[in-house]
Amino acid sequence: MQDSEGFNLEIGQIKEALKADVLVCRDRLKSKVSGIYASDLMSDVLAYGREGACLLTGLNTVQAVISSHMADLKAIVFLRGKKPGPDIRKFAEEKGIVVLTTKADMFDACIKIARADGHLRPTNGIMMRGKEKNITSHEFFVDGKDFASAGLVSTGIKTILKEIGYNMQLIRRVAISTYEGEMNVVMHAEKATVTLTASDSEIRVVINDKGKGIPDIQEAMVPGFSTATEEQRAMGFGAGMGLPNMKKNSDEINVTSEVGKGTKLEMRFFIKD
Amino acid sequence: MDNSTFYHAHLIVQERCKGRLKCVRSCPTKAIRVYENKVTFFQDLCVDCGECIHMCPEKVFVPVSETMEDLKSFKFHIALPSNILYIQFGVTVPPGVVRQALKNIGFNEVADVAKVCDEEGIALRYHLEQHPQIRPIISSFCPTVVRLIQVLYPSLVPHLDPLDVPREITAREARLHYAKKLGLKEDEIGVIYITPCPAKIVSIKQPAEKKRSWIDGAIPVKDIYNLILPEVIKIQQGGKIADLDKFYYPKAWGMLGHFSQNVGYDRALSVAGIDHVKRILNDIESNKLHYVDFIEAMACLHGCTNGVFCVRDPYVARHNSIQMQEKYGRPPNIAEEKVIEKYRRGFYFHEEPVLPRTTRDSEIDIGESIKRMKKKERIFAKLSGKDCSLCGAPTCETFADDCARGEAEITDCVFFKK
Repeated sequence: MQDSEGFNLEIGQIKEALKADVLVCRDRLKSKVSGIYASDLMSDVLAYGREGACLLTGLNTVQAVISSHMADLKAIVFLRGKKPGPDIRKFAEEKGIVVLTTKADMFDACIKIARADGHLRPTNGIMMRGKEKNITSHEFFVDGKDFASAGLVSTGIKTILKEIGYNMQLIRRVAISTYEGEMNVVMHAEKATVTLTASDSEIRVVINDKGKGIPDIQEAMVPGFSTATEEQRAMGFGAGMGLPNMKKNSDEINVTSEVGKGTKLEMRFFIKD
Repeated sequence: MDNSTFYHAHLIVQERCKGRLKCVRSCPTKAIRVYENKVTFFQDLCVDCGECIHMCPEKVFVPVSETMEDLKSFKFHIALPSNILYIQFGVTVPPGVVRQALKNIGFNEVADVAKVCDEEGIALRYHLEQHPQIRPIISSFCPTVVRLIQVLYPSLVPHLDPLDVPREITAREARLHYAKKLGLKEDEIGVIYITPCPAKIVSIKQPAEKKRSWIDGAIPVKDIYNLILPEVIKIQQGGKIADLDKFYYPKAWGMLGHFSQNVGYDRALSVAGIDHVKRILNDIESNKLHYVDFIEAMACLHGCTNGVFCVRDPYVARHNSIQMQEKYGRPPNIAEEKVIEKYRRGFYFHEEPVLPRTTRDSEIDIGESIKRMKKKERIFAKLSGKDCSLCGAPTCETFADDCARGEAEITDCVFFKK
């Protein structure tokens, strides 16, 4: 029962519903939880527990608190009248996790909370898990004129995308485009942030730089157009293929620029089946 | 870890482990874990580089190889030594003596890979001209590099050169030649490779590019060294042997740079050492090295002279090689047109294409995978970040990933133990 849109209970209300005693962090009863997760298996809590949720468990060990802390849970209810020892309470107090204890068993507790939240409808199962949006986002930084570390961001982005497991050719296109963008920052701008947003429908890379800007974007998109210095060319860069390459490798590219301020470059890669 | 379809040439002797975690930290693909005092590794991630065998002071990882006894069943035995074997002895032992010593311990013939190496250098130059659209082309010589690409850089698989390694081609030709000459069946002839590293054993037992290797078994260089050393000394003391001069030092690709020399220094970039290879592969993936024609990549620093099965220090071996080249070397004498004609009829090619390896993450749902990643990041943010490996995973990041996959318990982290 981790439906963040539908779930609307404060820890205090959970306490009331379960006739529970609060052992740790009494000052946080007004805080709302994002859902309920009931399990004795802590690896499941780590894998499926939603941030800000409340855990119902019969596992009266410090692992319950550590796992809850890891999964960013707000509260733990120990079931069947189990009372955690001082070490558990101390850890929970340090981490700001509310600890309650109730006489109810797991099934009973789930039903009571569901009733209190108005979730219990005859035709609808009570343990509906809400849809979590599958988007992950990462930020990187690039320094201008730093040729030695050029490529680190594209490698970092590639590592993340590989870990998620996208199609290899798609990852390659993202890596090549990002590397070109990174090189542009190194050659022409002062600094930039690169934001990667990855979801099951698209990958988006936004490079936002502070620098001299591009006066004529149309012109900059023409293959071979380059404003690189002789020095940069001597190092093997500045062939004027950066933007055209990014355009070729991405599904959608959007460049906006203000002369003297900087350039924002957005590249999108769609995930096709 | 129920992915047992991959063959690996090492066993784990758990009782020897003292939990130093050197293997965990050194594994380049982060395949090894020591959870619950047990050393395990992800079969699909292991690329047989031998780092763990190198690093472990207790010798927990034991290479599996054949002995002379295992290979007695054939009617005719051909030794196929890596040229690394010759340079283990130094300049005072001519290659002809090593060959004679091999025969003394029971081999009927000795075949060398050097000729095919020289030929393939020419063939590869020709291949580069025929395929200008793929740049750079990466050498498929080192089995560990091939596996590294299959596992970690699958998008680079099309960059691997399609020429089979010289030892396979030499084994094939020797087998066919002697079968015909002696009127034996092909499988009555045993071709035994003398290998500097376990990766080559794996590539013989489970080739990436064909159904069955042309080689029947492999014996480590150091085992053969111990066997033939007494024979070498005997021959040396016995004075002159017939047509000793007939055998020159077969310069092959074992050492970093030799392959590049065959292809042409101007066109090739040489890289060795698995971390360095990974760096170069990363650059190729970002299209940074599109102007390079050919990459000679070897997993061991300095090349095969640093293989786990070598006796001599790689620097000494290199020194020996240079001296032997000077004293016993001969310039290759190969007709280019003949090689190109053989290339055209497919003489040098892999029998089957190399494909990316199916790993535990091959068939995944992107949504689920992003969820797991977010979970991992959430756990990672709470870890100490010291990468102490005491939990049994190489880094805090891999540990967080294992936790998110449900393969490790967060309480294994010493900073959470009370």
